[in-house]
Formats: sequence, structure tokens, C-alpha cells
Amino acid sequence: VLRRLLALNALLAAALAAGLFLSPPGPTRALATGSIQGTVRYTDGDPDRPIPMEADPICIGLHSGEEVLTETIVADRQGRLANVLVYVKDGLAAKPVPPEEPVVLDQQGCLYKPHVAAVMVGQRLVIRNSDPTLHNVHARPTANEEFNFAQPFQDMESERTFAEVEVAIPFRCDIHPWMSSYVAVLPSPFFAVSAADGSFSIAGLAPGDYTLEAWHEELGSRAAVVTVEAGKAAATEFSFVGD
Amino acid sequence: VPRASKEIFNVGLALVFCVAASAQEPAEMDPAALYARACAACHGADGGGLAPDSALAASFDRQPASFLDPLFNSREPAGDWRLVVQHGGKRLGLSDKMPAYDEALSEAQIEALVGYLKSLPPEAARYPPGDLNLTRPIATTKAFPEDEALIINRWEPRDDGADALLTTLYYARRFGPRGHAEVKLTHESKGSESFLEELEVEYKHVVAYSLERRILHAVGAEIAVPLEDDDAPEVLIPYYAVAKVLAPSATFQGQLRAKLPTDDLGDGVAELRGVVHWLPSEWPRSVTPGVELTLAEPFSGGSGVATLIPQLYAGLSKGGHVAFAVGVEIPLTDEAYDYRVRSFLLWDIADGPFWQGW
Repeated sequence: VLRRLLALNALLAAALAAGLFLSPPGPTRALATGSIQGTVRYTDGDPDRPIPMEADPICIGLHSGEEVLTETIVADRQGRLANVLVYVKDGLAAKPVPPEEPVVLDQQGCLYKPHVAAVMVGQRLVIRNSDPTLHNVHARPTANEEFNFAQPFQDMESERTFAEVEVAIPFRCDIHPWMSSYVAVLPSPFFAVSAADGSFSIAGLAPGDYTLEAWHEELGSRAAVVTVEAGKAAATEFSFVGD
Repeated sequence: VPRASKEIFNVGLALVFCVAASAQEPAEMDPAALYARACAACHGADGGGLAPDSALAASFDRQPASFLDPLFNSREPAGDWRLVVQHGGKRLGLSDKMPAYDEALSEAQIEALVGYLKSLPPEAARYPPGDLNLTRPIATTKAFPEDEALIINRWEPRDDGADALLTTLYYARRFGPRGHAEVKLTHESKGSESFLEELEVEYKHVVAYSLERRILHAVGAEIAVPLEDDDAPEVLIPYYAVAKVLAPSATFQGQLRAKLPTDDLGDGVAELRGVVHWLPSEWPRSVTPGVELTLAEPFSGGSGVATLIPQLYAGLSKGGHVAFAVGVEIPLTDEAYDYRVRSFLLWDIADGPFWQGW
């Protein structure tokens, strides 16, 4: 009898554990199966220009002497635009918690990688110098606090968090004036940056109507209202026109 | 040149740079290696700043400093420079393009680096170090030479209602490594009277200093020409001034001088002044309290005068190049006044325009 009771207990405990691990953690998460997918398009405008890296021979060396283009407007032949930040501006029911995972902004080949990044308010931004040369990280926000620190050594990492929503904070290196990045500080983790083919995808949304904003450092912003249904991907598209 | 070999050459070049730059661990670098790695990009390989025609120079509205100018290099304390390296230019009212190094370098590395920067000018030793440039007191003459403009006030309430207000416009500039000349014009208003009271011209010279012993000695002389009273003689005032750092947060300054009327030297007065300042903060924009004692003894043996001046000195701009001080002079001997309020507004001209860095 005792053995049976023990076996039953073990079975119950296993079932309970499995239930804890397998069941969805809450009603919001259970419904947050919708997503938004789309493409950012671009017509006309100037192509990007080569960067003169003469100020630092180490930077030239890091690109094996190959020409490097500015990353302001990165569009392919089909007119699909990269480096556009797309984020949920309005429509979230609950206030989200900042993700544990930090966002990494790297300095690589005397360029910022990625050129456009985003963190949620309170989420960590890790700034890394992968180059064997001195960089200074000079952020000039308007709503958050300005900072400017040096990273003279390769693989040095520094961490910052931001208290206020801001789209977007310009990051510059004053030693290599062509280096430029934008870090947006957003009220939620529901954002994406358009890829080389202009595509973006924001997952984990509960059903509802959302206001999306697409922001480009030079071309401005566009807004769209998207209805998300459970388990489905809502499609949307943004278009920017050059000068 | 075939493309492949060009690429191999470029990759090789990159590797050479990478290896050269990362050969040493940051913790093992001596100050010269740290300078080359962390400063030279903007301040020049030799510390002389950027070449004016360089692409980087064109991107700076305020050019990175040249450390090879011995006057610029010596005039401010090493502690102020450490603050700039640690926290960046903006916190001290300098260029916001100067980054903070407090995450990259240890305090010991920054101290060694600043020592290295201070040693760069070829004639560094001829210039007295800014570490001996102490807080300006209310009465005692500073021993350290300066480029400064001041407005000095002394207000003396009187029982008869004829309160006296003296206002002095002061301008000083440095000559050579150790010289300093100044001119002072004083206006007085007393009751219903208002007149230009006195013009003073002064020269002082640093005669000796020791950074090790934290002491600096200067001698000087002043000629005061009365402008209002035709019968009053010109007065010659030779003096000796000393600056001594007592502890990291306490300083002493002293002055011994003789006021010699040119028509009768025997009618002169010997004066001794001393002041102790307590520096509770390393930041230039902070308040520094001090207490000063002045003693005056006529040669003729008449009654002397003793006063005590508790005072506060406050850096106003971020870098402290504009400052205000106020003190109350209380007579310890029997005088015609109960107290005098003395103050000055100071602008260190060499550190930049008045409105820079607030």
C-alpha cells in the first residue's frame, strides 16, 4: 500500500511539475500569438556615398582597403529599405516589463553595428568596441541624459539604460566623424528594424488594434493602424519617398 | 598590381595594425603607451594637438588642447586635469567632445597619465605648477601669477550714515614663466561724496617653488598713487608672499608687506596677513571656506590693527574660471567700524570667455 501511495505521489508531483512548465504563464501570454509582418519601401532619392576613412589608417585596414558606404539610406534594387525602425506606438493593453536580455551596439570596422537599434525603457544597452582603435561613444539625447565616454581598448564593454522614451538618440564617435548610429528608447519590446530586404516582423502581440510607427533617421516617420488576430500574421507596408 | 595581391597587402596591413595595437594589455601599459592609445588621436602623437589642415581638426569647433604650451600646461592643478580625464570635458565646462575615461582607466592610470601630460612641454620645469595655485583670499595677496580680471568691493557701514563703498577694478596678466603684472583702479563713495580714490600698479615674481614640498614663494612691489587727495603721498609697498599646501584639503597663504609713504618712509606700516582654506570638494564648482587674520603695526610704534576675516569662496562656472568670494572683516582692535563686508567677482581670463561653461 505504501509503495502504491508513493508511486501515486510521484505521479501527482510529476503531473504538477509538467503542468507548471507546460501551461502558459498567464491569460495575456496565452492570447499573444498574433504578429505583424511587412516591408518598407523606398522610391527615388540619393544613394549612399563612400566614407573617407583617412583620419584613421586602422579603420581603412579593417576593411582591407575596400570602399565603405554610408548607411543612411540602404535600399536594394527593388526599392526595399533597410534600417527603418518599426514599433508599436499605441494599443498595448498592459504595461510590458523590460526584457532581461541586453541589446548590443557594437563598434566594428569603425562603424556601428547595427546602424539603427532600439531598447525598451529600462532595458540594458551593451556598447562594445570590437576594434583595435580608440572610439568615443557620444550620445546626444534630448529626453535622456547625455553621455560621452571613451573605449580605447579592444573588446571593452560598457552598459547604459535609459529612463525616458525617445525616438531616437543619435550616437556618434567624435574621433571618426562618419560613425553614426541611432538608438531608440521605446515603451515596449514590440519593435523591429527593417532588414536588407526591407522586411520586418513583430511577434507576440495579443489580438487588438495597434498604432505602428515606422521611423527613418532622414526620411521621417509614417504611421499605420493594424488589426492583429490571435495566431495570425497581420500584413502592412510602409512607403518612404526620397528627395 | 593584381587585385588579389592588393587584397593580401591590405589584409596584411590590417593585421600589422591590429597586432601592434593589441600587443599590450591595458593594465600593463606605461603612461606613454596609454597616451598613444587613448589620447593621441585627438591631441596629436607628440601632444601638440591636431594639424590645422587635418580632416579631424575641421570637425572640431573647439580644437583639442596642445599639451606642449608650457603656460597652458602648468597653470591649473593636476587634480583639475584628472577630473577632466575621468569625467569628460562637459562636466568641467570644456568641449563636450572630450570623453570620460573613468570606465576605461583606473584612477592610478589617470594620475600617471596626467603626470605624463604635465611633463610634455620642453620647458615645463621653468613654469610654477598649478598645484600651487591656491584659492584667492580676500585680503592676502596670492603668490601664484595669474591672468585675471576682478571686481572687488568693500562696504563699511558707519554710525553717522556715511557708509563707505570702495569698488576696485583689477586686471592682471602673466609675463614669462614666472612674472605677473597688475593694475587696480579704486573708486570710493562715502555718504554724498563719490570719487576715484587710487591707482595701483604692481609686479610680482615667483622666486622659488617646490612641488615636492608643496610650497611657492614670490616677491613683489606695488606703487599706490592717490587720485583724490592732492596732499597724500605715493605709497611704495614691497612684499613677500607664500603659498603652502598643508594637506590634500587644506592650504595656507601668507604675506608680509611694508607700506612706505614716499615722503616719509619712517611713517610706514608693517603688515602681516595669513589665511587658511579648507577644500571640502575636488570640484571647481564648490564652496571653499577660509579664515584670514591681518595684523598692521606702524613703524612709529603707534597702536596696531588686527582683523579677522571669515570667508567663503565659490566657483560659479563648471570649471571654476568665474568665482565669487565674500568675507566679513571683524576688527579685533578698537576701530571706527564694527565690521566690513568684502567681496570679489573673479574671471580667470586664460580659461576662456566669461560665459563659457556654465
